[in-house]
Amino acid sequence: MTAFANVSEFINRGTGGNSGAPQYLTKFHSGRVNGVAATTPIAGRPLSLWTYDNTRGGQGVAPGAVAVPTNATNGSMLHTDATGGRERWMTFFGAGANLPGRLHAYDRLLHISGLSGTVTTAQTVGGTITRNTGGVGNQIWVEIYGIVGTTATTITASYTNQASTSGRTTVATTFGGTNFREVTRLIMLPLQAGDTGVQSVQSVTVLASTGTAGNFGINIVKPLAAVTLQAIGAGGDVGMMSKGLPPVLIPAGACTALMLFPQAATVPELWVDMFMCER
Amino acid sequence: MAITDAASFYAKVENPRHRLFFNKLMFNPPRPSATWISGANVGATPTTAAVPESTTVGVLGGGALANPLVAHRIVGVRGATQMPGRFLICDRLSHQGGLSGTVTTAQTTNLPTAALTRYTSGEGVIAGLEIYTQIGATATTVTASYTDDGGNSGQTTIAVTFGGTSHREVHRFIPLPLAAGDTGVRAVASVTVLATTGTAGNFGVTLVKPLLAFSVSAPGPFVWDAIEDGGGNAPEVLPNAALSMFVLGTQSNGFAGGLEFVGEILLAEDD
Repeated sequence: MTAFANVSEFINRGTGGNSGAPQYLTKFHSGRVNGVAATTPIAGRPLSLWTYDNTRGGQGVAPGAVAVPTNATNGSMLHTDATGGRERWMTFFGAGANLPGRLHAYDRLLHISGLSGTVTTAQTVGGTITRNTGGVGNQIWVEIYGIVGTTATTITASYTNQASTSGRTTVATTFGGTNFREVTRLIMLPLQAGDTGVQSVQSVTVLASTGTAGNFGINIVKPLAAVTLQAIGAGGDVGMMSKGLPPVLIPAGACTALMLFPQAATVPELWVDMFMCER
Repeated sequence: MAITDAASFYAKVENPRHRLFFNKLMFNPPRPSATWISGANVGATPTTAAVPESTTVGVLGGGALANPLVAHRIVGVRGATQMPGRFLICDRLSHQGGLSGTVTTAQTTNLPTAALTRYTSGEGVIAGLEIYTQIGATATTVTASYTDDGGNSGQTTIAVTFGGTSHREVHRFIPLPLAAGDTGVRAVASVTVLATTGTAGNFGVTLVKPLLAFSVSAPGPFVWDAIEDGGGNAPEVLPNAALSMFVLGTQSNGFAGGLEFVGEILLAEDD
């Protein structure tokens, strides 16, 4: 990995010089999932935009068996990988929406769905990540695809941390019940003390039945960038040379997906923009 | 071609090849809205399918390019706005009008859209419905049959809300979500409104290629610099491009004062 040498090189590559291959990616999320109005989000709680209908590639789907999504997987920004031994860098990230909040871009390293909100034994996750394999900075997120039950319980995962230590257990967090069961909800699993990342997840365990199986999954993700959407419509943006966004290395094959912390209980409609170039 | 270095870039910002001045006023800004039929250089409501060009009335700074056949880059945007919002500058590639909010069969009036003359592969091209005369108060959904960026005809967009409050007002631009795997649009063949909205109104299909976007957090002046604010995105403006603006404003629907803004786009040629 080599950084941009100076502003001149950055400008030159961003405008297509020296095989910079600039790519401006933009898409609009309609606030619907597969043609039907999306579930109203919970203000202040994270929401996945993976399955939202949009103007670039269509929506992502519940993955089923464990899989490693890539830059060619629908639901991501579908950027083009770097060629010729170069690397891809994100230098701009912005969005406008019909609500305020904070929008995160992340690399979706691994995902699985088809897990149940009523099974109280360990449910297997497995799989092997192929990007950021050291695990530092990786997180474990629960994603709900089919509503689980109204009975609140807790959930934990057994994982291997960034030091390759297996048998680690996330700290129990609420799962099921109002605000923790709705379709498109993301629930972040806190790591065990001292851990700063995740290499793999062996299993996930729901402590007690939520009352409805539903359909949920586990994602291993690596956050990439975030932008604050300041107010309805105004949104926000961050650039490499302003507002605090360093150039973000986008690993080969990265599945650049989106997560939103909505500030209001409003189904989001977003216009999202990214700019990338190669070095 | 490209811009060679920082010195060249900032020289272009200070002394752009062209300054395209614009002045717009529009209403109903909370969701994506087009500025085509507002402002000092009011575009006409399209009828038959057509390809807007740099000299078409309604284009930002309409007809100001001395040599429209030379590609340029946007190196900066400066202006002032009465309302915070997010502003998108696009190349308006193709448009038509004359569709009805009460017809529930596949509408082909003035369709298919005119063949693209810029970004002809369709990659990254967004199709949207632009409302020229208010349609009805009954919310329904709408889909379109289109040719995707791979040249596959008969693709169908995913149903999206159409009609009813916030989805029917003049200026509204309703982007159409694409089928799985499609990353752009070459043409739209027909539009189908699922159920009547109650009022025919007048809407059309517009194809655009977004070039840049920026947020303005407070009323008043703003400056957008392609390097400092756009992360190096000084987008190429193809010969004859029809620059057009879309807005996500901050006020709720029905904001009586409308949205006023004035500005200039700084254009430069590559080194």
